[in-house]
Amino acid sequence: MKKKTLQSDRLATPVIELRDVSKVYGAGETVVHAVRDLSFAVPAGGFWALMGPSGSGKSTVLHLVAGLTPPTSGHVHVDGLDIGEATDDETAALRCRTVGYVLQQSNLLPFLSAEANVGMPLTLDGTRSSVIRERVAAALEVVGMGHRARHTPSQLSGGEQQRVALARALVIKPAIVLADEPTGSLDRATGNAIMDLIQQINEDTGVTVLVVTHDPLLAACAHRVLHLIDGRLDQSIDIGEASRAAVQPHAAA
Amino acid sequence: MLSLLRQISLGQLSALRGRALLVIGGVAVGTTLIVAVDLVNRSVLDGFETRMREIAGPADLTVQLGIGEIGFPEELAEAVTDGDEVAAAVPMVRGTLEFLAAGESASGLILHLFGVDLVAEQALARYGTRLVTERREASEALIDIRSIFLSARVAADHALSVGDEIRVSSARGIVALTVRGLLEPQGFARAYGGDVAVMAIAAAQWLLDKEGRVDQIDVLLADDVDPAVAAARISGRLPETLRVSSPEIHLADYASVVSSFQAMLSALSLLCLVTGIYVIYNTTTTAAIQRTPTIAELRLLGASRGMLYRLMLAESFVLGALGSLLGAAVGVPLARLLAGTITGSMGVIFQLRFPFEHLAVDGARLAGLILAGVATAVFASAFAARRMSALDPLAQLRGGVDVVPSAPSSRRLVLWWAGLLAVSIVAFVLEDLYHSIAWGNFGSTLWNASVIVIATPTVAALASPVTRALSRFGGAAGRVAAASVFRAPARTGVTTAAIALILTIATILSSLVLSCRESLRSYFEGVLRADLTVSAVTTEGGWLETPLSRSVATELEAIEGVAAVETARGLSGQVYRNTRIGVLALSDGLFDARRVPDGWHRQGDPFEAQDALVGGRGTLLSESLSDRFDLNLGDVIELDSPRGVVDLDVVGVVPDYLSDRGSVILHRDVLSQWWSDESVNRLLVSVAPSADPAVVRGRILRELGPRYRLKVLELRDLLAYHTGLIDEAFAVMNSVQLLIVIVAIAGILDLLVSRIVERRRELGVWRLIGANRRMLRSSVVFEATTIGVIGVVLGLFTGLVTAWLWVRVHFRELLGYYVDFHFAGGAAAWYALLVLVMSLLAGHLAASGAVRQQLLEAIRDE
Repeated sequence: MKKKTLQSDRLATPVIELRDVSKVYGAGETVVHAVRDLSFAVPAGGFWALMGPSGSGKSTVLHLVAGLTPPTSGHVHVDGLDIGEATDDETAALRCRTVGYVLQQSNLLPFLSAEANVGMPLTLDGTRSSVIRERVAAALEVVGMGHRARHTPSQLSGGEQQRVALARALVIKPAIVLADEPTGSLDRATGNAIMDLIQQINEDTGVTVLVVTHDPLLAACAHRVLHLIDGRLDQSIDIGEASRAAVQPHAAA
Repeated sequence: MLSLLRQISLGQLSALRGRALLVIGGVAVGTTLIVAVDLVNRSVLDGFETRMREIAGPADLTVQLGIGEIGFPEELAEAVTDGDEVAAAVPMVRGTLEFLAAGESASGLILHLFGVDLVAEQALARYGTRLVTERREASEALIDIRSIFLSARVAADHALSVGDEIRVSSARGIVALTVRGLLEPQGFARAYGGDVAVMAIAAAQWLLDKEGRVDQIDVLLADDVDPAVAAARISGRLPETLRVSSPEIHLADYASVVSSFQAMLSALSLLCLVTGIYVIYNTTTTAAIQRTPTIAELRLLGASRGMLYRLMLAESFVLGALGSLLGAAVGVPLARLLAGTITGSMGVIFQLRFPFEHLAVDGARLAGLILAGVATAVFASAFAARRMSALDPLAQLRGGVDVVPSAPSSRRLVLWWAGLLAVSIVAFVLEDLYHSIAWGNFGSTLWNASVIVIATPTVAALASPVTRALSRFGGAAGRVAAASVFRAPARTGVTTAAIALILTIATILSSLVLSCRESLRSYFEGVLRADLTVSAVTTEGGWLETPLSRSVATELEAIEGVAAVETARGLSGQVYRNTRIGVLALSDGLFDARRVPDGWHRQGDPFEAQDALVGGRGTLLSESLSDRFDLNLGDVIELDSPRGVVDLDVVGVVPDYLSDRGSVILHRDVLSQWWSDESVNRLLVSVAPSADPAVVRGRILRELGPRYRLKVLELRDLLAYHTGLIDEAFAVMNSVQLLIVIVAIAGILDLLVSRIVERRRELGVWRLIGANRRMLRSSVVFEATTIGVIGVVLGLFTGLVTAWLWVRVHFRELLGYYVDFHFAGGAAAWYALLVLVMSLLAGHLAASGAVRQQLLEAIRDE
């Protein structure tokens, strides 16, 4: 795994900002408070990790940032867009142009080749096919999958599928990459390789990364780790502190 | 959008090939029938128009009674010509002759005979034809009454030339005629496909038993005379019952005659389209469930709701276009195939010979129908597209979503159902009150919609008892099946509604056919019963045979074993208050009150009516005529006859099926006196008690056979003849019904199988906790069968009620016949069995797939 680079202090302009955000699902007896009064701001080029036990609201935070759901209260600003006020077309455009999303499962479309999967966000955005071809090839090269461009997901291993999913997130030249346990379904070595790749991309392109993980070792790649419990921010740990506190012992283990 | 269509839709539709084909098939079947029915409808009217123009030639106006079925006194021709506005008036007699091949066997050729004034030099030229043979030979026709001119085509087909003798069957019996000339295939010699013959008018009158009468007078107007003014002037010189009108008006008359049947065909093809919509709706909804992950993924990647909605509509557009083009491609040849059947059906119903000479394909109209098919596909899939595009991608990320609509509460649905029911009943009442087919179609559509709406509450209401029953009989497998069936009542409701609709449609049509059959059976076994029924072999186009001379009755009475002969003469083209009605003239014995079955008279008493009927003062009305014109016992009906208006007392109302719009039944002396008609269509022979009907039948054929082409039927053969005709009349509807059932059953099969496919993971979990394959199979089969049984029960109930409504209310307006209701229990049971077999089959298919799948694969699925 590559050594982390602390950049957060240098990058002050927030590209993701949550202010007093709460998210409630359901009603009455089945109400679930997924996020409560959460506030934080991720600066452009930052690499932040969200940690916490199951049900702590980590994924909900990503959903809010991706514009998949509006906050129940508070404000979520992503690259200047107020998610709570945005229309469906605006949030769709956000995902097409600004936010690349990587999930635990690669979620590739099984009937399309790797290159077609990668090019899909550009196709949705109405990009010309010559541009799509060019950018897809570049994105696949970045993740080291150029030689597997014409393979369908079923012909790829889990790690390869996740690389293709990452290329799909990068192909739009996003300002932000959201990754929800991107290594959760992979073996340790493959997971490490994927995290190295994300870290490398963050360093090389300055893209902002917000990653959800259970794995402290992976969180150690980040500049800052937000620890959530029951939807609330429990700790915001600069990774220097983290290495002194919890991360290093887990990593060593 | 195009690249999305190519990448996403093409990939998905390839993976869901079966469903894509089902959508294409659903659209194709609907479009095929609509195109075929529309083409036949248009072609028939086009044929009428062509024929009328060919026959009418240059005539500006035509004088006739009603639609020209029966003639009027020939002396009226003088009154027509007696005016400056008339340049020429050409009287004409029309009828049919059966051309007999060697040995006097049937040749299958019906000659359409025109009797014209051959003395007039331009008689043939006026109708756009002329002789291709020598004039000298033709002049013999003026001397020899047994002379005939044939179209050159008929002569060529039968190797005939001038001077040859031919034999024909006519009202006068079998007659030998000499060919005196051949007509070139122009003008009216091209009508009826060229099966045309011409005789001198006097000869034709004799041969057709129409002496002293003409069927029409064609009028050529002087230059610069307004036809409308001329028509009014000519009418003023004629009895008020005769019509003076242009060929266009006559065409409109025919169009109005057949419009109800065509409306019924169109309604049926629309029904098919509605079934197509339902199939497409189900299929796209089912396919949507399988496409949920893809849609969710696209939403994650930045596809907006609108974009996905448009994408799915574009897919439907493409599938709809493929289906519609396929439908149009099949519809045109199908129209050619169905033309004979449809014109046959119409002939039976309307007692007319319907022309069909070529297919009137109109490119613009065809394109319109294809577009309608595409629009239908887009409309039907819009529901699923809307739900899919509104899909919450988070729900999918959390582990799956249900794209099937959650049902409103049962209470709300029952209220909706009650509302629909109430409105449809009001519509049926309005149809009955105002004789409006439109109200009936509206009511019928709402009624069918109510079946769909009530399905879900019915399923919900059955949950508890059926769960108990399944648990008792099926143990754990039964409980699992019940849980699956009832946990989503809306889903099960959709499937059961589909089954119920199929059974409803099948029951409606089967009950219609059965009701017609049984009503006719009671008609012919009741008032018109006879040991033997004698008639001509040929018909004028419908079921009623070509008229014979009344003298045949006298000849029959002289045959040993014949106790009595009664006669029936039916005219199905008379006009009453601008509506085409039938006139049935019967001889004395057929009014004998003792032969009338109990309850036959819906109004009046047969014993009280008998004297007035035999005395020629009274008339019976068919139920349909009485209802349609609000004429009842004690009223007076004014009938148009060639000699003026006849007033008759209404002395009873009875069932009668001579004409679709109703009929009057009167004594034959009235017909003789006012219509100057002495012909008979049927002779009802009572055999002496000591005689054997079969032996008497043989005697009749032996003694009269050499002189007449006769058909002598015993009662059971007569019933078989009419049953065959009813089957012919409903043949098209049966074909349509079959197509609807096939398409819908394919849809149901798909629905049932997909229900199980969706539960792969759940079934995997069942196996994980110890269920064996046999239990899973039983559970799946139980589930499919339970849904099938609920659908069948609902379908049989709604089918029974809907069939009653159709027969007793809607059919009366659609086709006009008032028949008694008979529920086609046998056919309904057959279709119910078919649905149950399909359900079992679907269950087994799905069960095989479910138990074959690998356990880990199943629980990893999704």
